[in-house]
Formats: sequence, structure tokens, C-alpha cells
Amino acid sequence: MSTVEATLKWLEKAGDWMNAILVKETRQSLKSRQFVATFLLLVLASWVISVFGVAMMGESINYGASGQRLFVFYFVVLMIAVTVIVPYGAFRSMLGEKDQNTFDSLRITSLSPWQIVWGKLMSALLQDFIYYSAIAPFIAFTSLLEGFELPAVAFVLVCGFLISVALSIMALMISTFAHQRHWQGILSIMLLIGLLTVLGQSSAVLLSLFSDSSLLQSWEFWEGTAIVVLVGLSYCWLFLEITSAQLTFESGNRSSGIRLISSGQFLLMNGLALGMSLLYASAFDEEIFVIFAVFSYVQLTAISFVATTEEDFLSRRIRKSLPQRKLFRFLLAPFLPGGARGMVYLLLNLGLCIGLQLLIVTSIASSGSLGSGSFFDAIKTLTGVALYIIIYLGFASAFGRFASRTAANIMPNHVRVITVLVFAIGCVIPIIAKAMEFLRWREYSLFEIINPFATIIELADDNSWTGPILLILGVFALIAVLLNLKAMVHSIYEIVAIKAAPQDTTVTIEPFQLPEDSPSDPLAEG
Amino acid sequence: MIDDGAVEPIFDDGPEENSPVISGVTSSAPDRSGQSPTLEVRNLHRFFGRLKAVNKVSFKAYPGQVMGFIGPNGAGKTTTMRILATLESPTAGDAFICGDSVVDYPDRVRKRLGFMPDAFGKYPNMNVVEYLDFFARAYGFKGQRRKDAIEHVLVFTELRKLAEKPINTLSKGMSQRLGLGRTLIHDPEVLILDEPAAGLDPRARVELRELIHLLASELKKTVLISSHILTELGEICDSAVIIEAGEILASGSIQDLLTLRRQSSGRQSHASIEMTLIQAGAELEKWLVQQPFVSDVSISQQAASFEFEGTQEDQHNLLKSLVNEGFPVIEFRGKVESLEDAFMDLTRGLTQ
Repeated sequence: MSTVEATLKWLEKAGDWMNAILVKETRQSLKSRQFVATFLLLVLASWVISVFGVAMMGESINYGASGQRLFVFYFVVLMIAVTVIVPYGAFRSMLGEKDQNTFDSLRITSLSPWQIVWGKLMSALLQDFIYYSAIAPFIAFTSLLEGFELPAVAFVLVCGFLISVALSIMALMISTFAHQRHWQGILSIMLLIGLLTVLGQSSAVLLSLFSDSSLLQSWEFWEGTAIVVLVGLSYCWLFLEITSAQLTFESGNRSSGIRLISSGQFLLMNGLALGMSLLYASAFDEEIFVIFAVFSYVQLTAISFVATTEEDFLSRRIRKSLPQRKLFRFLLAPFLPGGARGMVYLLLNLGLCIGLQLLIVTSIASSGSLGSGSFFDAIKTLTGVALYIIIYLGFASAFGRFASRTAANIMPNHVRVITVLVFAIGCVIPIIAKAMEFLRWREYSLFEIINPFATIIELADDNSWTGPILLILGVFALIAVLLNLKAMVHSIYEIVAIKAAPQDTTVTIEPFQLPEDSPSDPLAEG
Repeated sequence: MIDDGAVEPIFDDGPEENSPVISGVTSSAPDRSGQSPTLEVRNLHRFFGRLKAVNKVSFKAYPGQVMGFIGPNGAGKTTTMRILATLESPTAGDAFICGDSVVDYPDRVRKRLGFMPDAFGKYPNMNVVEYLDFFARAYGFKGQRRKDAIEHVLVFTELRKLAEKPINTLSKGMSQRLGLGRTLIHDPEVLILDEPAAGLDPRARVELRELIHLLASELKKTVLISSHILTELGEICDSAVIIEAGEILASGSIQDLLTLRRQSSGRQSHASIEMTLIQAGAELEKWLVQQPFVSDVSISQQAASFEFEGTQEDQHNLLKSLVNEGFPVIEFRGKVESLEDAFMDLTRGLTQ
């Protein structure tokens, strides 16, 4: 057997263990005009850059930073391929499953949603790898020239790859939200604009490294990079989980993975802030603290907004997948689907965030840092933010539960839209009142408490209104919690009290029940 | 083919008083004692807001059975099939494939079920073998097992000679074969085919019919098949479920449905007789009306038709009398009732 035959046989065997989507997409890509054209254009552009670059530099190629200058051009060409074409290809690939009516056939195979998403991502990464391989000889050429700095080049190339991965993941996630044709069109355009923006920004930022390569010698630079990469990776994981949830069977568990990962992220971000405050108490300033806190709150609001407005119904399939032990079920309960459990999740995570923030402030104060007072001010502002989150999401959750019982056809998305509208109206009314001179422009009025932005600015300024504002917000937050209390207790109790079925028995059908609000016979009504 | 009327509808709650379900036929369907149903739909409901797309649908099918799923557009066929294929969740009720609930164990169901949607897609830049290879991989087949599965399907669907052909260049008939092949790649016990014959030319339809026949009779697959071409279904299926406006109107073996058709139109006869004569006239009509077992006489210039409620012996005597009376009879035959007749009589022309 020749080496080629042996290699092919080995590859075939290896292919057995590869993701089916990856194998399929690789085969398709190698035959697709788009891939072949992009590859050829990349190589052609690199050749042109090489020929013209060398010709234009003339004898100066032997001195100065000619290697670095040529690398910049190659890098931009590479970035166009890996930050625009590859992510957009991933987006189109997922959309194509729906457009070409192949998605149903795919969903009923043994592939799990995670395998589908992972396969799509891997095929994007494979394309990245091919484009990197194509440009490698040209970069190797620049290494022969003056001014080539291997650490900086390696760092920039690795960053470019990570950006491409992150963008491909985001593109895949966005594609799962585009159900209708017009949305597909709108999202395609928005994505393209976003990708081009990222291309410009990331290329500029990464290439600016060449102007000050001493940064790579700095310990702080690597610390900052590690934090950005860590947080970025956690977001990538979250986006992959969201994408997978979007592809999950209707009666499956679409919520727990997202809730668990998000909680991990809150812990990570606040933990990082805590770690930094402990390590660099004197250098850790209020701004970093607020940035970490605001990041946590924004994400918590986004995730909890969906979680608290879910229907409380828990499908039979999820019930069957619950752990056997009561303790595990109790611990898992806040992460299971359902609006009331979403409220428990929100309160737990807010408690966690606030607890860690207090620890940070305490550690700053105990270190004797002069700036600890401003941290306490920041805590007041953040408490205001937390109370607003409880008020809006608490009322939304209670309203959603009430609406689903009293009105037919009220879906979670309706509740979400109504909540956003209420929030927007709350923000706009005080502005209108000021425009019509019912309120003074330059002064804060308690009426403006319905505008969270104005109120938080007021809290940050720490004026005389701080006490009353926090008191009023606290009262409303308490009402919001009380409105959900019974449902929250019940939602946890029902999980703990559930009698989990053995995993491998044939299902016992629960007594058939029509929904309470089921319509009477529409045929009879004509 | 199995022709013992194996469809066994279930009424968990019992048919309601105003239910359009005709229980006469369903109760007469013989049991398949000792054999478990591979497909069971139990009191299935699917509502979209106020629209009852599927309402109280129940039926069973057994190995080797080809069941037609018939109804007008918007009757709830595709919704039911999509629920069976685990692509949608029921509002209430359940369905089982080989004993596994489609709601609780979709992963298990998918391994034992092949679903061919009405518009199954084709990937670009792929040939026939690559397409089948992808689905074999997607079902977790590795190495030689995967190759064998692909080869088996290529042989069964007679696509071997087109193995290297890009799938986008296949004809409609060949595409449907490929779709069926994809459905069969993991050797499922139950096949759900939504409008597989739509858009096929007569030859392709006949070939598809033969494939489905083979699947049921030799490989003992349970096949649930929907189609608008009822003459085709009548020839493929041994039983049928007729659905309209989300509810089952009738179900049973084809023979049972035809019997039901007669019952629902108030006739008890076992035959509709058609005659061709050199010349037919009022005299013949007058004579026929006077004969026992004869009703609904209709006469045209060279033909006559009537309903006959007697036995075959009585038919023979009637024919003898006709000839003895000197009527110039050329042909005397029982009119073949079709699934189409049953469908037209049993459905009410409702759509949702």
C-alpha cells in the first residue's frame, strides 16, 4: 500500500469520528464557487501585494521596516477573508438549511442541536485554517525582510483568528433568529455592516500594536488581554448555547444551559473584579469596578428578561430528565424553564452580584485606600439599578402569569413587547413633561423616578434625593417580589416534590387535558 | 399487502355525540392480537390559537401496513405527520413510534422513524452518494456499516448508476427516490411520507408505488402516506384514515371505508351495476324498476346503471332474465368503487 493510499485510508477512518456537518460542509465548500473564488482572490491579492510591494520599495527593502509594512497588507487581506467572508458564510450556511428545506431533515437525524451548531462552527474554523495556510508563505516571506517582529506578528495573527471565531459564533446565533424572509434580509445587511465595522476596528487596533511593540513586554498588557479573552470566551460559550437552544425541540429544555452559563459569567466577571481589587487595591479604581458591575447587570437583565417572562409550564420531557435526588432538583430548580423560576434565578444572581460587590468595596476599605468612599457611592447607584431590574422584571413576570390565565393567545413575546413599551413610555413621559415646562429642566423631580436613566444619573450624583429614591424603589421592588412570591415558592416546590420517572421506562401518559382557555369548536361557530 | 383492516382507532374519551367519527367501521376492524402497533396516535390535539389544526385524532398502525392519510388541504395531515416526526409538539395527547412517545423521547423516535416531508430539500454541491453519506453519518453510522447502508439504499432505490450525479440535476422522480432513500438510510421501522407522489409523472408514480409496496410487504415497514392522488393511494394502501378540519371522519381498511360510504349514503347494496346495450330505452327502465333488489335505475342511450342489493346468485338470475326478455345486453358489470368515491362521499368539503 502506497503512502498516499495509507494516508487516504487513515483520513477516511478519522472522518468516521468527525462531525457529520463538518464532513458535509467541507465537501460542499471544496466544490463551491464562493470558496474557490475567495481562496483564489486571497492568493492573487497576496501575489499582487508581494510584486508591487517589492517593486515599489526598491532598494529600501533592505533597510527600514519593510517586512512589517508588507505584513500589514497581507494581514488586511487575511482579515477580510476571516472576519467578513467566513462569518457571513456561517450565517448563510445556517440560513440555507431553512431556505433549502433541509432543516427538517437535519433535525430528525440523531444529531443534537449542539452537534449541528458545533459542525457549522468547525467548518467555519476549517475555512479559517485554509485561508491562514494560504497566506502563510507570504508571511514567511516577510519574515525574511527587515522589521519583522515574530511576537507581534504571532499575537496579531492569533487575535485575528479569535476574532474570526467569535464573529462566526455570533453570525450563527443571529441566523437562528431570522425566521421570516424579510428578517433574513434585514439581518443579513445588519450583519454585513457589523462585520465590516469589526474588520476596520479590529485591524486598526491590532496593527497599532506595531507602533508600540514594547506593550508585549508589559505584564499588565497580558493581564488585560487574558481578561478580555476569558470574558470573550465565556460570551462565545453563551452564544453557542443560545444558538443550540434555538434549534432545540419545542418540548426540550431551552433555558437551563443559558441560565447556568450566565450565572457562571456573573461569577466570573465579579470574581475578576474581586481578584483585581485584592491584588491591586491601590490601583483598582472605581471606573473598573463600575464597568464590571454594569456589564453584569446588563447581561443579567437581558437573560432574566427572557427567563422571567417564560410560561410557567414545564414539559413532560423536562420533568423526566430531572435528577432523582431531591437536593439536586432543589439546587437545579432556579435554572429550569418557567417565569416564576426565572424570578428566583434573577433574585439569586442579583444577590450574588451585590454580595461580591460589597466584598470588593470591603476589601478596598480594609486596604485603607483613600478612594473607598467613591466605591460606596457607586454601590448606591448600583443598588438603584438592581431595584429597577427587580421592579421591571418582577412586574413583567407577574403580568405575564396573570395575562396567560385571563386572556387567550397572550404569548411570552407579547408580554416582553408590552414591558419594553412600558419602560420606553416611563423614560419619555418626564422628558415630555419637561419639554412642556411642567417640570424644570435643570432639576430632578421625584416624578422622574419612572425614568430609570435620569434617576440613576441622579443617584450617581449623590444629591439629596438619594434616600427617598432608594426608599421608593425599594418599596416597589418589594411589591414586585411579593406579587411573584407565591408562584416562586410553588415553582420550586413542584420541582422538589415531583416524582421523577426512571430514565429507561416507557412513558406513562398523563390524563389528557385540554388547556383551560381552549376555544369551543370553531367549526360549529362557522 | 395486508388487507385485513388492521386500522384500529382508539377513542380514549369515547366519541362525542356530535362527533363526525363514524364508529361503525372502526369497531368492526379486526384486532391484531399479539402484535404491538409500531405507530400509535392517541387523542392528539394541536391548536394554533383558536384554530384546531388537529383535534382528537387517534389511530394505530402495525408492521407491514401501508396506511393512507387522506384529507383536503388544511385538514391537519401535515401537522399530524410533523408531530409524529417530532418536529412539532402536540397541544394535548401523544403519539408513539414503536412504543416511544414523540413528546418525551424524540431522540429514540428519530432512530426508528423515517420522515419524508412534502418539500424535502437538497444541498447544493453534492452528489447522490455524498448526500446519503451525510445522512448516514448524521444517524451515527461508521465505517463499513455506513458503506453498507448507502449501498443498500442505492440498490433498493435503483440510484446506483446515478451515484456520482449532482443531486441538483436529478429529475423530480429521481429526487423523490433519493428522498425515500434518505428516509431509509437508518433502516427505520416506521416511514412517514408526506405527498411523495406529488409532481411525479405516471411512470415515476408507478415505480414509487412499487417501492412502497416492497417496503411494506417484504421489509415489514409501517408506512403512513398522504397524497392527493387517491387512485394511487387506493392501490398502495391497505387501510386509510380520512381527516377533515382536524378531525378523523373515518378510518379502517379500504373495504371498510367503501362499506361505510354505502352506509352513509343510505344504501345497503353490495354492488353498483353498469350495463352497456345496443339500445336502451324506457321499456328497459320500466322492466328494471319492477325487479327485486334493484333501485336507483338510470338509463341513457346505450347504457344503464342501478344499485343491486341481492346476492351474486340474484345478479346471475337478473342477467339471465334480461337476456331472456330480449334486451340487447353487451356488457354487464359491477362498478368498481374507489377510495376516491369514499373520500368524496365522506368528506364535507370543509377546509380550515
